[in-house]
Amino acid sequence: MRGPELSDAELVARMCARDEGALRTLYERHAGWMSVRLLRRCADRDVVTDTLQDTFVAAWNAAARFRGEGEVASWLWGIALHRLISRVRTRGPQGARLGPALLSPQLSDASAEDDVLLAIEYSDVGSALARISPELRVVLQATVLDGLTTREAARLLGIPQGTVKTRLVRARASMREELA
Amino acid sequence: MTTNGEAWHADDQALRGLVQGTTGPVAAASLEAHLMRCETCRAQLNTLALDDSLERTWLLVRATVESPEPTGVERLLQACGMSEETGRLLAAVPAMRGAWLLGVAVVMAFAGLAAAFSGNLGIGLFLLMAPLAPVMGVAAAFGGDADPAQEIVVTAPYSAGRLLLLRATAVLLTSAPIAMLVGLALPGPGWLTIAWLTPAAAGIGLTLALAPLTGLTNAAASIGVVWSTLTLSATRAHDPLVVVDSIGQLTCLTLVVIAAIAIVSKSRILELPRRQKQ
Repeated sequence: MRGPELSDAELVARMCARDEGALRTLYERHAGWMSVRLLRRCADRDVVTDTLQDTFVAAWNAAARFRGEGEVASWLWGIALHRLISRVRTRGPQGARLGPALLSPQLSDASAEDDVLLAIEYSDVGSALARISPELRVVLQATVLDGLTTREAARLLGIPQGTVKTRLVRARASMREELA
Repeated sequence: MTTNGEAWHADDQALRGLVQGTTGPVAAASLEAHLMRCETCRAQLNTLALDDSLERTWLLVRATVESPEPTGVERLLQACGMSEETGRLLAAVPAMRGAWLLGVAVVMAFAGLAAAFSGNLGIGLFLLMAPLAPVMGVAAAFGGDADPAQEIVVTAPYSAGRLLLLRATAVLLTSAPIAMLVGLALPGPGWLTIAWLTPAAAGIGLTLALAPLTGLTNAAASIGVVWSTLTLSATRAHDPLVVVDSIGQLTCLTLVVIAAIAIVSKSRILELPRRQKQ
């Protein structure tokens, strides 16, 4: 696909053979967008920087465990999300500020011209999601969109696991109501 | 068509909104989902998100990746609650390495074998070797050329006394169990298993006490010669146990005390210049 350039999976294979250049290339390809996504979930740059470092060190150590199923990008992102949770957790409650993806206070801060590409914004689901309260949406973001368990979501958001569960139930009910 | 990541790409404005955090939740979630499947949009986002902190983070990643992995011994010592630095200093003691342990084990095994076939000679050999093994271990642990960690040790911000105790303990801990096991298998009296400990302590003490005068290796060698002469002549006189009887033990204990006093007073002198800053 990319001519003589190595694919992500080939880079990971080389990392198993302790090829530091491969790690460097992988970092160049993935650190940027990962830091953007992490910053959307945690507004503290220090925490995001630490998470990014943890992620690539973990990827280096766990390269042998990547079996080539699925995308390297998803594999790295999975590591990053879990590293972020443990970093936020070690900071303690109120230790790390949440990012816009988990905090968006305005119901719809996206202007129409931003989102030609995003028809979903104006679909039934999109408008329903935009109308439910931010507290509920955050829980949906963490569990449904980020694929975290309620336990992981609780750690990331700094709220009890029971609260995540009840909010998730309420969020589902609200969505159902909106879509009915 | 829209899901294969090739036909459809996010424009710069949308990606910039993602970087700045101004994109709405639904649009952002949809963009993020697309990013996971689209190499082109990831690359585009990378160019928009470029900043210095990424390069600094890379340096940290590289530093972590390049630092040597702790050896098995180091991990074991850390599991026992030792700090990483102490663990590394200890693991670098020659007596902690496989070759040394193997050497001690083989020598002791020969002594054990010899004892099984010809009582006195074997016991004599055991009494010759058991105290000398830790003495040689200490000499190797502080002996400059023989110590691969010499430069670390010299520059470590440790008090000389603490380091000395730490490493001598490491030597004893690795050599003593082997000698004790062999001692148990010997035909002689039961107390033989631990009888060699006082001569060993005296040997280590004298080696360290004499080191400043003669050099560590010379001190260890002279003690080796003296001890060999004693045990061999006792063996020739058909009773090797004489060297570890009550008089022998008392003599050794006295030597330990003298050596300890010499070491403590000397290390105080050695450390005086460092403590003046207080």
